Amino acid sequence: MTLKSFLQISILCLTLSSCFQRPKACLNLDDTYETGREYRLSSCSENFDFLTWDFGDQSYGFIGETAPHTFYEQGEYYLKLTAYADGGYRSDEIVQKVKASKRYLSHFEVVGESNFSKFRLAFGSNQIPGPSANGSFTEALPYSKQIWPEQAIAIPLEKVKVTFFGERNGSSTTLVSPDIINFENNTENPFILEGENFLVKVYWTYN
Amino acid sequence: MNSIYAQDSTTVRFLVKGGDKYFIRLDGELQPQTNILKIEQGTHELEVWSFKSDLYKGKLETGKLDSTNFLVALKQSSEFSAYLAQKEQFKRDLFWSRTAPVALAGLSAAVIPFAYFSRKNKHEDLVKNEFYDQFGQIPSATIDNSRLRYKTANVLFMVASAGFVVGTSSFFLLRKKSNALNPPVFRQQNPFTLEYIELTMNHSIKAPELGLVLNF
Repeated sequence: MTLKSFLQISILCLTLSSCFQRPKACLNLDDTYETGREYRLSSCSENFDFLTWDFGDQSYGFIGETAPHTFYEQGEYYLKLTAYADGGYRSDEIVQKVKASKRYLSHFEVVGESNFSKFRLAFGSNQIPGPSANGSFTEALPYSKQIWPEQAIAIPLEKVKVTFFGERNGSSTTLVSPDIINFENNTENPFILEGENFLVKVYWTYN
Repeated sequence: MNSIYAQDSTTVRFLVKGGDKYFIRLDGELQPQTNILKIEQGTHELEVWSFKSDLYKGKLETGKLDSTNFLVALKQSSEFSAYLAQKEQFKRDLFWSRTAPVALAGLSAAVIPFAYFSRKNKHEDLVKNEFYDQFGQIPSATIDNSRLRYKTANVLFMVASAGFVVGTSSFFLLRKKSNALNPPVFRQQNPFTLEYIELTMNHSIKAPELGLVLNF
């Protein structure tokens, strides 16, 4: 081997080593996360060896492909994901703003024929009276009662008894039997209460 | 009885120091290659020679002995002493111009992959530990150890890389010089048989090579 060919091989090796693909950091996040609930945050990163997660909420960082995380305080956080490759010599990072919030009852809608003067929704210990309820309410034109932001009723991550009443002449009638909903598992929006003649849709919103 | 059968020859055992295979010439006559000779009693001209030694010349006086020992100390030839010095110089020159660069490049080339992956792993550990350290998730001793381990691996990798570059460059730069090196030759003539014997070194493996030149 001559000195020239040795140098050529050395330059070729150096060139090839610089052709390693760079890591690409990418996040698959929702805009808002419910406080107190554990999520598995996932990434759409490519060409990485490992990922570091800085959740931006003063909590511990995490290293891994999917990060289990719970936001405990409401607020806006800047989550930083860094994708590393080649023993950590190459990296790429991405920062995304996420919101952490409790779920609040937004409004409820009722479908059905009503001769009641008022509707009332009982959500745990919270009582949510509605306006005049006499009339026929359809899917297209349902009875609607706005809750948020006049009443800030947070949905806890536990079982809650929800009942729907009709009121007339000072007396209450249970239109939808008490339903115990476990909001630790139930994230449907709206969650639905079904009675014999009434269908109640309760919507929730983040702060 | 002894006087009737008195012996007129002496068995001489030669003890030759300084030569493995030696030749003995007695009164101008080459003797068989043995260390025990039966010779006539009296005074003889003795010559002893061994390869790498000077010719010994002396007188052998048997007296009336039935047997005797004769000790000969051969002196190392001054040419052979010079050859030994040249051989050492040749070995040194060959070592510095070829063996050392090749050994350095080879050893470094063997260490580089290990050092490369070790450095990479240590750097990965360091990055992870620095990340955890930001959040106070690990004790400070852990991050210090991690930094030290990476530094050590980095130094090893740098030294191995430098060794490979220096060794390889030296090999190519000194190649002409090492190729031009010629091993010293020690050539000596057997004063009895007139053959020439050559002693030199194999250029590649530095092992001694012995050759015989016959003159007819």
